[in-house]
Amino acid sequence: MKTLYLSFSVLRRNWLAFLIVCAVMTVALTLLVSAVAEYRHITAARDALQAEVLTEATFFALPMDSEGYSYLPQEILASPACKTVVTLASGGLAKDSGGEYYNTTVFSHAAVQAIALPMQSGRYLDPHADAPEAVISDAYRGNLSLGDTLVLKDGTAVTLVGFVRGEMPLPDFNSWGTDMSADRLFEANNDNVLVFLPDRMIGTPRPVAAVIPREDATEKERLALSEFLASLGRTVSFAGFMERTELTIDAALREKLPLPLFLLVIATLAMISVAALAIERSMREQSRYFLLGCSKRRSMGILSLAVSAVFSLPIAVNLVLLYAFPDFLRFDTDAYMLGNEILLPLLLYWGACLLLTFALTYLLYGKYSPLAFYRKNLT
Amino acid sequence: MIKKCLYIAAGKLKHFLTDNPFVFVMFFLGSAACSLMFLYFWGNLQYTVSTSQAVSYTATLRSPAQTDNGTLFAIAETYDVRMDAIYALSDETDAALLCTNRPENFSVWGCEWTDLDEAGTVIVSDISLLPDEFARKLRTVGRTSSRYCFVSQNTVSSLGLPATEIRLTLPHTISSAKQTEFLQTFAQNTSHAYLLTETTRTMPVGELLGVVLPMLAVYLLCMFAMLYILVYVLEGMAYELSVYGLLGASNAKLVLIPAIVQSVLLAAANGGAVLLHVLLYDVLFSRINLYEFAYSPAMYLQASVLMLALSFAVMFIYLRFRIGNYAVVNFRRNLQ
Repeated sequence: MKTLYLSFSVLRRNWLAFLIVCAVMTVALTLLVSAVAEYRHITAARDALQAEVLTEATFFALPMDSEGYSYLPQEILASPACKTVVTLASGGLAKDSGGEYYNTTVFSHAAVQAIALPMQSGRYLDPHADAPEAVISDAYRGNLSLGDTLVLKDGTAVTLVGFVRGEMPLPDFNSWGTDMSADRLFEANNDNVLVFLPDRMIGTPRPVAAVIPREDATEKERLALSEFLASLGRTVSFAGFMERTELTIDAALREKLPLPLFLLVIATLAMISVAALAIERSMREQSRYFLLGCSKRRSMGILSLAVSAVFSLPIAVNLVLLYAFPDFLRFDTDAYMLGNEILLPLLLYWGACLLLTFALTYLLYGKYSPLAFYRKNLT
Repeated sequence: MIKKCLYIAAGKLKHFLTDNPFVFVMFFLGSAACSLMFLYFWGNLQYTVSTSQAVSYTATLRSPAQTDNGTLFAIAETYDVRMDAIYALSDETDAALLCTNRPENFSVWGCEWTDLDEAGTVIVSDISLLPDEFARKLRTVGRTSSRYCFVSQNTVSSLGLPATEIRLTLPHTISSAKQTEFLQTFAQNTSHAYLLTETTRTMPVGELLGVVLPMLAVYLLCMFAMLYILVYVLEGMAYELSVYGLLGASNAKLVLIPAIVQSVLLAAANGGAVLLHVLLYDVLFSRINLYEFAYSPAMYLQASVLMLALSFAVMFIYLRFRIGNYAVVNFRRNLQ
């Protein structure tokens, strides 16, 4: 109790500096957590695309028709150079055993192979499965559990085999934007159940697709396919598509990261400086404690406790925000992924700060013998 | 007397730098980081303001005239002016062609802009229909979601259409003399057939303050956290200054001595940050900018003056508050 009181008195004597630095650090960490969550979101869509399957693919988007909708033309599949089309379709509503309804998105066989989503539990859709199966985002699992059965509008029973990790954006393929990039093909906070139906699709395919040519197609056939796609809508090669994705990611990083990083660097340096100053200022007081019989370890403990408490407060505030008020970290955007992965860098930073605190106390204080300390500060 | 103050300040500065180098290294690094952050804000803000306020004109056709589109586009290119010429095709509908020297500002599908090089080609709009008369004459090479159909200068020339409206956006770096010269050249080459109206958008003061004030507040908050270290400087000098006060030194001089020490430290940190920014601009700082632009010496100067003015203001207010008017009071306070 005495140690706590003495630590608090160290903070009280420098309260203004500690308060300001603490505020700057809290804001910096909040902005940084939010920026990292957004970064995880925009890169998650890119990471879900399987490069080895899509290397030869051409991404294709139909323009919107006069009613605002368009569907993938079936003639694309009929083209001699076309091997397969990675696309999705709406499966309508599905009902679980409890009577709850879910929107469904049907994956083609090619889509299951080309898009791999990180799983929280269970397993991902198996392209070789004989029976229909489904996965849903873990964030929207509701009362569902692994092995549950959902019934599609045509009566098909689908087994739930896995939960996609947290807030992972799910493939949407409904965007006819003129600037196709990975993040635009995926939709955040999607409560859809992703369904794999072997050998068939329900509904009409979405207006965006990755068209994969046959390996044995001649250059002439490939060119004819490219020209055909270009005559229908907008096309871009997989390399071009990924290049645009990287540009999108780069632009988002430029916009979101510099301010929190600047603030964090400044707050950390300021915190170290203010801590060093607070330790310097308490030297006379500590030397009196020495004279009165206080051990060096305890004296250092008083100072370390005070400084580490200030370092810990911004981390604690952000942990509370992360788990109790995640919506606060959204900053008006749905495009973010929080999750436990963000916890690790936060805890690492905290650990580094604590280590620094003890090192600082030892550096400024611990290297003196009690006698040297009296002479330095009380003379 | 000033010389004496400078001498004392120099001695104190040397003493502090050697007595506790750790705190001063932290101060330099922190202040330099604050300055770098401010430079980042300032540069991007200046660029945003200058580009959003690019001088622009709209030229509206007021009398029938046969103007050579090629010549107008050549003039625009000479002055690095963006020129979008619009050709209304029908009085009943809003169908129109657009010819531009900055195609990168428009999105098209199923084609490249170079596909328009051939005369008689068009990129059709998904929104507005091309009148039959023109649809028969022109070959479609692609599509766009713009309300205009895109054509090249060759096509416009072959159709013999006069532009009904020309939108001109001047580069933000253009001087007023060059601007006048361009407008005169443009008017002469169109035989004054167009009415030129300035359509420059100026950023409202409220909008500008909405960006600048938070920027200054963030900088001041960060700088205040670093300036707190300078309290250490003052505390180290307080007793000596109070003795000077008892011996008859004026209050202004008592403020001046720590102010010189602290100003040197601040200016050095700021100068170091600017130097670092210049040296590492290509490898680091240009990559974190929101836009691609180069910092001019004027931008560095403006940012430095603003940063130092803000820091000095905070510092002087603190010193004036800390060093009271009565020498005896100062002395008693520092004896405790």
